Amino acid sequence: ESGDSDKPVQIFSDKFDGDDVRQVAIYTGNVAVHQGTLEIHGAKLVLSIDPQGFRHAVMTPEKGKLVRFKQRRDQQTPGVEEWMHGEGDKLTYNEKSNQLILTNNAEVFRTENGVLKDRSRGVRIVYNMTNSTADITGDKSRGSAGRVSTVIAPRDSSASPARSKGVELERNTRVTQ
Amino acid sequence: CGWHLRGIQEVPLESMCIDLGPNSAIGAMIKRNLRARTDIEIVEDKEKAEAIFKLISLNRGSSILAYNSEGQARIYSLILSARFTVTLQNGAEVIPPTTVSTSREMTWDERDYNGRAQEEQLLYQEMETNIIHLIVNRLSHLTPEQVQQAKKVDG
Amino acid sequence: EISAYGTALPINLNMARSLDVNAPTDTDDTNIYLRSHQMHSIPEEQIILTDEAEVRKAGAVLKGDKITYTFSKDEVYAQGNALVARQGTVFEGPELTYRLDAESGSMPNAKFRYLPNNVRGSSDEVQLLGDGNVKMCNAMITTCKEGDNSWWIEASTLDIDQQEETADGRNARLYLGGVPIFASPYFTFPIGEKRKSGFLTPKMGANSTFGFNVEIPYYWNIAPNYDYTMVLKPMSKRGFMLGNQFRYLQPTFGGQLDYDILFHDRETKKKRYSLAWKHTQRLWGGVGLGVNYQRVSDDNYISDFSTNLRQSSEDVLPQNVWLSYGKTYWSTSLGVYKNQTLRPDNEWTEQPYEKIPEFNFRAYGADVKGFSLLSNFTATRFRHGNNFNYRGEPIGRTRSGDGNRVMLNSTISYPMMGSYWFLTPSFEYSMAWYGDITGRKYNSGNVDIYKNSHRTIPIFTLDSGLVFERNTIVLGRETEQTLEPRLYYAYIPYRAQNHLPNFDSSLADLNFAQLFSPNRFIGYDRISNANQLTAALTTRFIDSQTGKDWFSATVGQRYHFTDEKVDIYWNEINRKNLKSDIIGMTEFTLIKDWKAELGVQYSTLWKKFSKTTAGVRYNPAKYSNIGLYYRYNYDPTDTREAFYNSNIKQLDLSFQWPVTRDLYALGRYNYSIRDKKVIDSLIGLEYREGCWIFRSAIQRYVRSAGRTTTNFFFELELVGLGAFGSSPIEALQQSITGYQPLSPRPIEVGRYDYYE
Repeated sequence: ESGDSDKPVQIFSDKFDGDDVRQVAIYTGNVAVHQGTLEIHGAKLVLSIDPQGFRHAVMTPEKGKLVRFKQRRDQQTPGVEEWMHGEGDKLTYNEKSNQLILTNNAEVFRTENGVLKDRSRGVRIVYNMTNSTADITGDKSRGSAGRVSTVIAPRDSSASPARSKGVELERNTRVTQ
Repeated sequence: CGWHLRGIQEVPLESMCIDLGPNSAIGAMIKRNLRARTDIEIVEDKEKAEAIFKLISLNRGSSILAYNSEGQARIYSLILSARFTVTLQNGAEVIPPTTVSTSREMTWDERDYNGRAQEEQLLYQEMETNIIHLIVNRLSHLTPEQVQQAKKVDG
Repeated sequence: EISAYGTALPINLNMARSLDVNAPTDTDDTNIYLRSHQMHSIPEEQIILTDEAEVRKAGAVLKGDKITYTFSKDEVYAQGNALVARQGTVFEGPELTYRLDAESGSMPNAKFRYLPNNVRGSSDEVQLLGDGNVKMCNAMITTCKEGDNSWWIEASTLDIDQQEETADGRNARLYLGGVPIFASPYFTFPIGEKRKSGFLTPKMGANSTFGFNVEIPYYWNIAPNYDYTMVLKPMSKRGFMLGNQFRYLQPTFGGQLDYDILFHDRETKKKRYSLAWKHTQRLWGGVGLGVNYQRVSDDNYISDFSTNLRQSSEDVLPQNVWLSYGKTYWSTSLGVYKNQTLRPDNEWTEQPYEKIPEFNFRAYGADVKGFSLLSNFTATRFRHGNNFNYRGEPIGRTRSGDGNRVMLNSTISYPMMGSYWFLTPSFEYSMAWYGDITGRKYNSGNVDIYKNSHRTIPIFTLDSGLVFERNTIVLGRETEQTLEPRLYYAYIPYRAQNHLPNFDSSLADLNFAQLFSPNRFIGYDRISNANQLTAALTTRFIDSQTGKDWFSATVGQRYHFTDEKVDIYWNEINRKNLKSDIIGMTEFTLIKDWKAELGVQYSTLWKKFSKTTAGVRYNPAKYSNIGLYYRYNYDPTDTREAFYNSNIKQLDLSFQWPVTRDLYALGRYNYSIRDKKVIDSLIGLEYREGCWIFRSAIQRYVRSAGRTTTNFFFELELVGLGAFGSSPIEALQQSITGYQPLSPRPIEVGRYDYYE
């Protein structure tokens, strides 16, 4: 949710060694980061503070596994609990832009009451935690096969109650990149 | 110089049912020929037979070959063509749908209008025996590979 | 695929057992697949795809440089090289808006391709509607390839109705080579198989008997099982003709009625018409009713208005109606069989007997304990139609007068067969009763009325044969050659029949089949006495692998051991023991693509060939074949005048041959050496371009009384649209053996044939 960034950050791990001089903390062994509804899991976390005082973290998984995160979204429609999930070979957290960046085998998907609704895969995913938007890029070198792929499940309008947001985007209000 | 009386032809099918209705003249002729010329056992019950002979179509046609000097048709060609297939119990085709045909010429004029149908019938009957001959030839030249291949399909 | 958080992922892809052609078309409950190099997703609101963007959902594929998908309206907005493909039609344009579930959208300045029968075109504004329907304004449509603008149609609006399978245009103009040649406020053409009411493409033609003519057909699809075609046919030499064809089909009956009427023939100053009705029906209890009735206004109608040789050679028109009923082993029928006999150009044709009525009962057992049984009972009331010659005088009965005949033929035969032999004895007992004979019998001066009489004649036949075989190599082909001697004996005792009327008998055409039949006559009124033996020898070359005959030759002759005493008419004859003609027949496909046949009949009576057919045909590819035939039929006893004469001595050359890859020459030259006359000659060409085919031909064939008919055919077929002008295809198919028109039918489209 948007309120997560004001919540305290709790980090659990098997091992911890800090280096106050370079303001770097390294956590290893099934690391888990909690901040409000945000949860990140991985094998190794390198936490550092940039000169302006914003935290910067790089999380990498065990060999052959993926770093994972999940975060609940602000409630759009009553009775529908929406969660955003993501995984990837590497995850970097940038407090200043409030973004999570997943690289290589990156995937982000959204569930409604536990049922998967949309899923996108690409080479690099930039997930903006304030408005939970995502920018996904593919691997241009592999041509059209390297494109990002997204699958949207059908709208089973009967099951979920009034689901769509109020704002009707008129045809002529073009969203420009 | 090699001439001998034609022997019984071995066909890699044990039994066959001629699926042509109880009282079909062509069916009776095919059965007689197969019993006489091959070692296939003719079975009346469709379920018990290893293979089923189906006559898909038997078409009689005629076309005018020559007109006299005042445009009256004088020489006709009668055409008889049969399309048949042989399938195993499971529907796999041992012989895919094949067409055999034969034709005969006949001269004719208006005086025989009422007798014409009977004259054509005579020719069509003789052509039927020739068509049966062509069909039995194809059946008797079935190779064991063709039958195995059809059996494999259902496996 | 279970994610780490234990939430089951509903999307599990499993292999479909087979490529299911009719995949689910209900587009609501299928996923949407999006792909592009760059994606910006605002969950539940919008996804913006850039760089090779693509959106797929069951039933439609959309592409574009940039696509914005809006969840709330389920709408795709594509910009830059936008494309939408659905059900075999592809629309491309600068931009596109499309609602996936509703399957509707719009595209400005669109180009489209309807791939099943390669129709393409463009339009200023395309409205894509549900169920595949499309509305376009300022549209252009053609079947020519890109860049080839031989012809196209422009219309202010063009609506494609997928259910009716039609394209309806408003104020359309047809451009040919850039020049507008045809305009019409309303224009519809079918894009599928469904029948659609409306004007069919008009035809024009020229013909020496009815001059320059135009045919404007209007087709009215009254109901799925009724339709009516009306043809308005003004002709310069004859006047205005109206053609009508009505077809009807019901579960228990169906048929077709054709009625052409020429209100006032300029040349004969009379009304002329032709009527043809064919009808079949299943009445209660399985009884069948049949009608085959043809009638024309006058004797010259057919020869004047037929457009090809085959039509003009039919001059006895059946007028039959019958009831029939049958089971497996027997069948019966009761019918009235009349006819209209035409005497074109004052020729004099004797009208065949009419049967008013005829009852028939036939019982047949194909294999009853090895026996083949047949019994045929026929009772007929023969009546002669009013026989008048062209001056209107009644024509004397050359044959016997009217009368009744009851006839019973029963045959029993026992076919026996082994692998190298066969033996088939058969016995037939033919009984006939004649009554109420009204005809005269002229017999050297005194007039004698046929007495009611009766005759019974037994017929014995014995058919036998052997088969010898050897394996050889012939022309490099592994061949089984067979040698099949056959002997056929027939005995019929002499029974006087000159006192009997003759309703339907005449001398049978002597051919190979007739050699193996006991009676020299056809029909049931004359059965020749016989004590004859037919000997024949057949050899076949059978390909050892496939079992196909690639060469067969047969020769046969019949020997008569007694004199022939029975003749058609009433005078007794006594022909000495004759040997019949020797009949030989061969047919072989020796070398690939070459087919040859040779049929010869040598008459021992006249010591010369009485029938010869020799021919060779070379057919290397689908549209190229050339054939040369020589036909000869010699019967010195046939001294009738040219109209009836059956003596033939003709050469027949016909070809369809490619001059270039797209230009084909067509021709036929049928020259009668005996009459020093060209029977049928035709020269034509067929030119094929990507989307149009031009056919033209000139044909001249002989007609009665030395006249000839010249037909001019010009046809321009716009592939996928229709043909204009007069089509020579029917004439070509009759005159050139093996002729095939150039334009192939559009092929059936499967769901996956044009996948983007």
